[in-house]
Amino acid sequence: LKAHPEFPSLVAGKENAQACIATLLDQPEEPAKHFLLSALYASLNESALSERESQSFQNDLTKWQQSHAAAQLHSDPHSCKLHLYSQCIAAIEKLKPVTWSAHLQLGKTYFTLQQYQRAAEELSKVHGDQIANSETSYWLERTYQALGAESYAQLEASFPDSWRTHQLRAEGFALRRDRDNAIKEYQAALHLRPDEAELHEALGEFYLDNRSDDDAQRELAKAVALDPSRTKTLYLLGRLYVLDNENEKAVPFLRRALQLQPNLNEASGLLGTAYVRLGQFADAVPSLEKAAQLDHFGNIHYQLYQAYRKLGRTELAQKALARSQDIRRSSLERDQALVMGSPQPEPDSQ
Amino acid sequence: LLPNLAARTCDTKKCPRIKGVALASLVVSLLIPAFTIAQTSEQQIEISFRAGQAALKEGHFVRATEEFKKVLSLDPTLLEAQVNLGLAYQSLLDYDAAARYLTHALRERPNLSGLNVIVGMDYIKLGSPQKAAPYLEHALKLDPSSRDAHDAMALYYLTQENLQGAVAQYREVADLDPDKPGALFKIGHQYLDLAARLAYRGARLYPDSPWGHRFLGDMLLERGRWEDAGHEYQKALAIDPHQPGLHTVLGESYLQCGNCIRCLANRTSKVEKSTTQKRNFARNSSSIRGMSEPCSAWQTFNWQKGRCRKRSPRWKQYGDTLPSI
Repeated sequence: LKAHPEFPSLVAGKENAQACIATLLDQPEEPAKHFLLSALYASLNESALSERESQSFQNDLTKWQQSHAAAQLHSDPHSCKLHLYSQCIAAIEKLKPVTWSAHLQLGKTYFTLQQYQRAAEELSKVHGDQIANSETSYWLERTYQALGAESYAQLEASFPDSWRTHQLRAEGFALRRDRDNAIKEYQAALHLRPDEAELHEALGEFYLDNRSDDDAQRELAKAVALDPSRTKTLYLLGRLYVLDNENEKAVPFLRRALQLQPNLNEASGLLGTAYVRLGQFADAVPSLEKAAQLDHFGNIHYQLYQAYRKLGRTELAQKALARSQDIRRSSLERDQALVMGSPQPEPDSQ
Repeated sequence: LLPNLAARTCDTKKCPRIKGVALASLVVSLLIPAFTIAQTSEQQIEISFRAGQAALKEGHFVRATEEFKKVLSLDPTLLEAQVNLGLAYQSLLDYDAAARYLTHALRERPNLSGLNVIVGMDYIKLGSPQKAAPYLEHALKLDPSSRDAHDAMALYYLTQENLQGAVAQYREVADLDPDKPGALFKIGHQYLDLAARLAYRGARLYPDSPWGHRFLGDMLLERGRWEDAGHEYQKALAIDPHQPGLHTVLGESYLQCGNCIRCLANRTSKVEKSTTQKRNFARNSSSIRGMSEPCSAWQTFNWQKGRCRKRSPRWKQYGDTLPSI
């Protein structure tokens, strides 16, 4: 009602309002009923009831808009379901108002037409219900992927011999676990750009992921020598040393990475793990607590459990252990780790 | 090439130039209005200031802070000392102290674009993005061609979950970047980061949605992990057996891992009726028949003759390379 000040105000006495409410409550469900009830409850200072009715009114209105939009779409014989995309777009753009379902349909249509920028714009406007939002999220993910692929295709086509193209090819091979070709492409990139810290870092990370630790150490050391403030290189060196159980060596790299980028959760988790292994449990707790929100495999909580237990904080230790076990039972967390490209758990981290 | 969805937050791939904003170039030289200060103090200020500058230049940041603090104890209003003290703290990665001194200096001299970017980035790093926004907006107003400012603004938008806002900034940066291969490489990764970010968020917000499983399946399929992909598609199908396109991708995963019977069962499912899906069916079915190569985009598989044949011109007209929605 506040949003519609053009409505004339009227004076309704308390008794009249209550009588109207009683009458309205017996009426069939429809938007007008909720609209009036909301106003009447407001006049009686029944804020919660007024808000509830207002919400019902909004829901009914939204449903009506959706069905109206769907009816409009349905009435067009050349609509989206027939895969006549230009006409589909034209039909949707005629809709007033353009509802979230129409934005979703537009986004999917632009996606199909490979007009990814426009698809992203339309999909970003969808604010529907839970189901629609999850579908929108999927299409937007695919749209951003497609935009990324478009950029890569342009890079490959326009600059086939650039070091960036070799780097990109290397990443593609690495993703497909084609070790030999990945290394070949990284080396081709490094041949063109031998002093590029980012390349040494990428190759180092590739070696680390494949547990060629000596090679990884060599490349990461080169990267950090070329640019001592590369957060990711510092983190990777820390990870390498934690994996190799050289925890004392890991700590300064991880601390430095966290100084440069305080919100680097992966580094926090590793730093906490290193401290636990070094027996510095009080130092470990803040880092582990910080990293616990992104614990995909349950390992951080397990480390927290150990640290709390050693510090005599039994209740917190039990909670951390229970959470660790919950996470290990949940495939969701592992899926998320895959999506985020997180490194796999360390073999000895329980 | 397959995309790398490894998520990157504000690390070296995203923030190298922001981090590398040449602090030295922002160091302010001493211009002391001589008439305001007694001779002795003036000499002390000048000595400490120069010592601070030298320390900054040599990378002795702790010493630099000490010298600039000495200057400020003699003249707390000296803007140049506040700026340089802030920059020294910045170099020590003490973002809180840096922001404190630099914001103070910016109140006096708000048009220092580089400092606005640094303060904005500091607030983002300190977990106070709302405080960062006005500085970054001002920096962009002062210098719309500042890539550092656009980069920082993109990070700000990400903290607000405004992905399209971030995209707009990424595109600005790419347009401004003279290194075109580098720009394409970076923006490609940035788009994939956004996809990963969305997928991660989606997995948390809609844990029981078939779309999350489908996206994960898509990613596994791209990585050649056919069987894992198939499992994800099955999970999605268990939740929503009628989702358009889902049987197609499940069939593709089966096909790739050699499970042709299940592939066929899915491919012929009643829910797969769109022309695009039929095309996919034909293309992949050609592989089932033992052909070395599937039919090309402009061919379709003839089941009776067991070979590819040209499609009608109408296919070309409508471009059957379009993906299924």
